[in-house]
Amino acid sequence: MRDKTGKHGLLCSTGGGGNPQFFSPPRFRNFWGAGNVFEPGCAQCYLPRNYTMPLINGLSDTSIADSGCPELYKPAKYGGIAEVYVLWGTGPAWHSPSTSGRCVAELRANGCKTIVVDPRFNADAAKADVWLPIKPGTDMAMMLGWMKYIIDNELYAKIPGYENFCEQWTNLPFLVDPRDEVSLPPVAEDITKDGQLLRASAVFDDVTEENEGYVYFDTETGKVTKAFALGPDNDGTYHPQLFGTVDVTLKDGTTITCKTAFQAYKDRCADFDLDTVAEITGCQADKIKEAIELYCSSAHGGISLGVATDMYPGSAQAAIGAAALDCMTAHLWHTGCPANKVGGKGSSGLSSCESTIFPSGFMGDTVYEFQTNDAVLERLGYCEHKGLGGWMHSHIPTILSAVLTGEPYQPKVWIERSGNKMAALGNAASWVDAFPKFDLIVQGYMYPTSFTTEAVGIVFPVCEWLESSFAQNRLNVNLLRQPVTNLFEAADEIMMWGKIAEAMSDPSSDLYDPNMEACFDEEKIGNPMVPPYWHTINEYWDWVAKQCGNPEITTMEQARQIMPQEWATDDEYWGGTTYDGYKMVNAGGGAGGAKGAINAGGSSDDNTYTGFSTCAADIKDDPKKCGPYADTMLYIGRHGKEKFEMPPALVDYNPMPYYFTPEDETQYGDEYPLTLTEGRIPYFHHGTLRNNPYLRELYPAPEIWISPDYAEQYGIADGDWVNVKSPRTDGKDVFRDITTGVDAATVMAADKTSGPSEFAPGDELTANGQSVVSNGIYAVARVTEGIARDSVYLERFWNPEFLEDGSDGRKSWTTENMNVLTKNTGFYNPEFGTYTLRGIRVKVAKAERPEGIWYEPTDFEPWMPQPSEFTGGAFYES
Amino acid sequence: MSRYCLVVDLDRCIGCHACEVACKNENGIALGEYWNRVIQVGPHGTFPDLEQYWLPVQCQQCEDAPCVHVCPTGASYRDPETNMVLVAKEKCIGCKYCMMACPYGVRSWNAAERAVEKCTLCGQLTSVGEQPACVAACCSACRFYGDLDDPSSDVSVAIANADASAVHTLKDVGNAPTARYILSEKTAAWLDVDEIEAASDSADPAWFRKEA
Repeated sequence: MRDKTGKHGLLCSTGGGGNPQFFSPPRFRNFWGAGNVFEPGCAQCYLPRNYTMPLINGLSDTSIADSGCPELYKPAKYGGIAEVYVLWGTGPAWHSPSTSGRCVAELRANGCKTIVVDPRFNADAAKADVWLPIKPGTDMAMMLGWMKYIIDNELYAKIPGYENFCEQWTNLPFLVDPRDEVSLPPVAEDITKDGQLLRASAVFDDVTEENEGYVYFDTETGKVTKAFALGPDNDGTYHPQLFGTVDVTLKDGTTITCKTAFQAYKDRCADFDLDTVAEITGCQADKIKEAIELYCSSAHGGISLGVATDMYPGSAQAAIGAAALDCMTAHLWHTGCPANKVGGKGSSGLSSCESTIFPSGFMGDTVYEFQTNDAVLERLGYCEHKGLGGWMHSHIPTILSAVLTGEPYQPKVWIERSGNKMAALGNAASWVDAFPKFDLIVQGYMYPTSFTTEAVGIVFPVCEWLESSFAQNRLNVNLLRQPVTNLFEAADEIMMWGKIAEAMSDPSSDLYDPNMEACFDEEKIGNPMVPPYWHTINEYWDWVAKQCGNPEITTMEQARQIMPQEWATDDEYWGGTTYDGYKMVNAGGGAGGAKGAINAGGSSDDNTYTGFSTCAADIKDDPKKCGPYADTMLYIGRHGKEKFEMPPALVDYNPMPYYFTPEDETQYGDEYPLTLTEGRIPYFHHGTLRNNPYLRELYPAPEIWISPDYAEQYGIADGDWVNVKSPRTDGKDVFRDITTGVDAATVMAADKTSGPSEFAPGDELTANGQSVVSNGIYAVARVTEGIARDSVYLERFWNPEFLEDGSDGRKSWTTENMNVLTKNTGFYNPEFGTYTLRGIRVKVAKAERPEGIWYEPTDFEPWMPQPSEFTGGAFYES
Repeated sequence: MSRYCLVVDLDRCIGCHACEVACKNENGIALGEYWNRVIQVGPHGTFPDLEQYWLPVQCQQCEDAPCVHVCPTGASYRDPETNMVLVAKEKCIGCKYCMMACPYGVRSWNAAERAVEKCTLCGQLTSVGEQPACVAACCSACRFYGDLDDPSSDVSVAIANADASAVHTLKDVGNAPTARYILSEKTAAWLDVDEIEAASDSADPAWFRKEA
């Protein structure tokens, strides 16, 4: 591959459950020097929130499933627990029962009011004060509706105890530059065109690139003023105008009329009155109003946004929307807020631990240059979807297009480090024709899956989670997953990558590659955050032990004896937390110390309050406001966030959320009447555990939740089998050539005609593959009132029983796999390239149980565990 | 006299089924057989004003246990030391009278050993000071084990902390079940056993109507 296509022929992937070292694939790719990495999650799961929300609220994302939201775990005895908590598209009771599920149960028991925005009447909805059964894919309309109600009723200025937060601590008073008309996404070309915030250098003679800043209009002085950071010396001198327009004379003498950013928001959400929002979302107007007023009744709480909105092309817009709502209503950094900085210092002398291994370039550069800027720039789809850089990933549909067309270059070798891509990838059947295009496909996983039988040439059996080791802190405790004895011949996945590199590290070998030699050399790497590969598993385990936060622990043997450890006591951790630190000098705050922790909040000196840091990279005089007007996202879309300037994306990263009707509804709504959502159930995690007999007996087949009125219309009774089809299974929506290149002049056609590109796709590429699933899939009907109207919920699934001897392996992913219905075509989220896993359209019909599936409890008997002898392996020695 | 039992706070239960799986793991229960099941009750009401709760059900440790009365061999018995209702499998002849007599269908037929079994309150664990597996594994801390006649026990404390109107038993037809459930009106209205429809979860057997 290196000689035939160059280094960028490498493709690495992960995701779908089962990878204890999340960054292994980009770490290997970065050492190698070029190529692409993807996972079916990423742009479709967590990255949009993880990347966007801290740039808006200046603190953290609020995913209770991922970032943890530690403040919500505070024991009641410390006081100040959350008073109102919005679970928006997240269901902790079922996605993490033992952690966040328990946490929210405690909050409810201690009097916290909850609002659940979810199409499903799940366990958290059943216990909520308000349930909004939202139609999938309409979250941004709901958010804009909340914003309009909050603005129209001036609730932003009525948050108890924080009436002036919006004025003093957000960028909403800053002026918008009317000369900058943003380019709009093709799905929402009728929205307002407000662009970047006005730069002070355009207004004031004494402002240059060196001291660039934002601009506001001061109502006391009557002057347009450069925004400044608040501090003890200037407290009370900031009187910004929140709404309306201001005439601004630029330093070149011209006059422009600027909106405030809050006015731009007011204009953006003007059409979203409660009745309109009720019509779009399927929720009742009085319930929406009740939810908003409850949300605004206390600043001690906020919104946890779940994965739901990451799973359709409004991913970034929903992340902006949820974080902006919390900014507008002061749900930041107080007691009880999910967006917070939690944890006081400990007196133990220990630091919080972390054994995630990071890729080169993620936490600072390496001395040795493993990859060039060009290699970064040529990642497929990265230039257009710059948010993918947050995890160093590439755009999945652009990769698929490149595999199928060879343009702009041909991926040749695929190292896949996870489970069942056929169950995890959107429009999974569109990948069938891609597999033969590779010279080699390698999979490292714990057991064979559909992907193994469908695509893989070489399998590396890797350890189960409990056979691997990992150190990480949670709250004030350092924890260590201690490796149990290997059950069969399998190795920790870190050894899979290391041994591949090792084989190419010998200068006397034909395989020799200097990068692969360098990645074993600590001195050449020269960055303590990027450890070299290890030759034996014991060397790796000792490295993990050294990350435990205790300088006295240097070996795994010691770690086994000593861990877990508290690095701070409960009283130190909770009692030492600094709340409302934004209005303190040098507040610092937060547990910190963990490798990989994002530095949230603003910097401080003696003259200014800590505030929030959310401004764009060209702003040098940071006014330290939280940034509901996402000027920073807009800036990233035009410049990137690499150490070099990137070409701009064709579609600007809009600074405010916008709503668009899901494409399936506009294109196929008549024939496919039901909108589909997904969501966690407590039995399974991602694509795993469908081969666990005690779990499959409880949940043997995917359920499709359907409301009684629709069930009656289609003649479906509770417990009936149904057939489910979408425009993908029926060959009406086929993946097309969206090839993009590395040269901005050819990547995206500015006039949207000289394709192929995302906006002017070329020929159909995967009609053959998608024909494999032309019969649709099967599920068991659960007729229930607990589902949004005109919608269905369908659990993702696959059937490992079809991998048993004598079975048709392809049926393992074509029989009950919801992801053959989903959509990797059409409009992709500009910021992250997200495709459409929720809010797609389907049709259902009564059917018979599909042949060959295991369904009765005793069917799963062959999977009951059997004792075996230790069989060696695992690279214990070398 | 002791009254050991389980108390389940349904205001906290989140329907995760961890207790069900923990029970099977601890007690080595075969596929298709259960000593403890979590029944979804609801949703009831008019959309979108719905109610729903989860009802974990296992042996209710009746004070006047019908299963003990009908057993022809003494296999179903009340332990003289602990006062718990238990099964001596070696005495069981598989007549299944006890399964028919139980008002709650919580006895399980062990097909391999041709004997009836049920929840033992994990005597192998509690006798050495540990919690029953279902209690230890409960994700939402809604399950409690202990002696109702000991006011300092976890079960007594849980009941004492609950509003009296929120404390329920499964329908008592003279058998005086000891197990208690806590469910407040804010979460949902309590339904008696015979008011609960066959489980709406299509994968669940209708537990209360399970045939012996």
